Amino acid sequence: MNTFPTLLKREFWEHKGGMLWAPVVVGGIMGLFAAGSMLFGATMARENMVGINGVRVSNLGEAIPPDKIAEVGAVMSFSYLPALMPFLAILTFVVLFYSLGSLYDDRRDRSVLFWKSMPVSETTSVLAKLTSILLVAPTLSLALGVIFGFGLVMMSTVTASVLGANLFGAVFSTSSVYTMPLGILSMVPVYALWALPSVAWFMLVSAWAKRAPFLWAVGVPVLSGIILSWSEAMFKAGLPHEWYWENVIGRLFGSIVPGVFFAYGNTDALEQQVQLIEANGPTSFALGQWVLAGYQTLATPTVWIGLALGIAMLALAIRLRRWREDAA
Amino acid sequence: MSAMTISARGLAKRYGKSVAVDRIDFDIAPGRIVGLIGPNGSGKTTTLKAMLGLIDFEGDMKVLGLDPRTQRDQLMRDVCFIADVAVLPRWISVAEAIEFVAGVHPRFNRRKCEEFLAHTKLDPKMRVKQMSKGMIVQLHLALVMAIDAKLLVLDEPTLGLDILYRKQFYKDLLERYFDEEKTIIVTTHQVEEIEHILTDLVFIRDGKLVLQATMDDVGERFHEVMVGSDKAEAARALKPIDERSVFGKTVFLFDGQPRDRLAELGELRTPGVADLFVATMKGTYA
Repeated sequence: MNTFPTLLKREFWEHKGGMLWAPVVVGGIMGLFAAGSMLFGATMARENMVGINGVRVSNLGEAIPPDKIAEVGAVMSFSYLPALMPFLAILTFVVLFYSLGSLYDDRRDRSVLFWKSMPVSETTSVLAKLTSILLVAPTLSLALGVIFGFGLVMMSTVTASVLGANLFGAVFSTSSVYTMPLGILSMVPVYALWALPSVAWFMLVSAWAKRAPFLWAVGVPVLSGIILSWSEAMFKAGLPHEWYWENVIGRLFGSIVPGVFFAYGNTDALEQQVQLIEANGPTSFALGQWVLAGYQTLATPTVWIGLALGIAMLALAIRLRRWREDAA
Repeated sequence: MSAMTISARGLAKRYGKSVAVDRIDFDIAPGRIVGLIGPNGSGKTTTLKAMLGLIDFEGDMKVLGLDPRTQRDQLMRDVCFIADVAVLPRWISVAEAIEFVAGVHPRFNRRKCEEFLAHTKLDPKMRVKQMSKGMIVQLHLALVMAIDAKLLVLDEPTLGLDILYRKQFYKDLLERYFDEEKTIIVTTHQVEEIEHILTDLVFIRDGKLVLQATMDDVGERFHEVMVGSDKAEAARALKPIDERSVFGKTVFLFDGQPRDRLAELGELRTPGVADLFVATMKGTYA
């Protein structure tokens, strides 16, 4: 008997499709495309049909100046970030629909009666779902994204060597090829803290709604914003409707998108990074600064206000879960 | 703490203005198999849900000495229930279901569960969504029977199953699960199929208990007599609670009339629970 790990396993079994298969399939398809285009490009180049800047790429090794070879590793390790994008997009949808269904779906199909026949408190089972949504799903998603990114680095290096540029040494002796994945995974707690209030709201609606949790979860905040804006337009009472749209509704839906926290957090470190990259290209990307910038976003007071509200909503969701009868 | 498995005093539940359970008292001792029988909407399921701590209620009730409202998590270690047929999640596989219960339930015996499943057509990789209703109930029963609980509550566990599954269900329950330490409470509309396994009978109607008796008491208290038309008037004078015609004779059902007196009227039998139920519930839907 070990209740919490078992509950996490149970969550994974139920959501294997979104947590594992969706990113694996999308990653696999993109990987195939990447491999296909590299193969195509390499073949064409070897047949002397394509050139870069007038240099026939069949001699790619000669085309890259030696002092630039050292930078190739840095450029390639930077490519982990764009490679991550599709995984983050999938994660956003998984987090949204997972949390909206988490305390609703089993009431609808009545399997809640089975879960409730087990000696597991509602607090434990709700916290297991929360952990699965905020920690397990993002960790899996980022891990798969990083594996995919590493695969791309491998493929590019192999392709380059086929074209006559042996970059293996240069790429795989660059430390950021290995530290970048760690840096990316270290963002999971930051994401979890930013997304918690939103996930708590979705779970609260999920525990409460008799039907259509999605409509309630989206409709209530959006409608409240519309009413506020309308009142302001009608009566000009100085209502903070713009602030409300940005900091309540925007935060509510924005925070589940990984990385958006950079936009809400007030971070000098990140701005410096962006300026550097714009000026000098991706080689100037400093992982440590970037991770620091991520954690600096937690110094924003609204994070902690959001967390307090989130915890209150979770407590309410647990209470509803305890007494709520089946959904329609 | 009482030695009773369940003890309820003034148990009541209201949904808005309608009263589902109307201040009932009852005690259920360990080692009993209690049939809770009532028409649709009589308060059976509400009573069971209250027992299991699934809903709030008024009055007092202790289940295994615990209050189901506030001590539910503790209570569920010793209580198992199958509330309604086929409530297992559709995505789960047999192996996952076993692993889950083994992971969260301190009294679950994995070997016992697998032994039971070996007698069925269920395969560890099979998912609930691929199973027939009868197979889902078999899986649920296998999980529940492998838990050494003190109280098992079954709410319409065989609804919608064919007769083979229904018979097998109660056979397994009696032969492989029940012992004198355990208590089973079961509700069903297929009264005939469970009457031979019951030790106690509770009839509920409009939220009130209209009969609480052991099966032995039922045998002593209620008699059915098949009376020829010549003695029908004499029989009616003894105030039968029900009468019906069979092959030109009349069958009367008596409550509390002495055996020897009734024996003079005609052939004496112990009534079936179903007939007793129909007689007791007369006019329920009128």
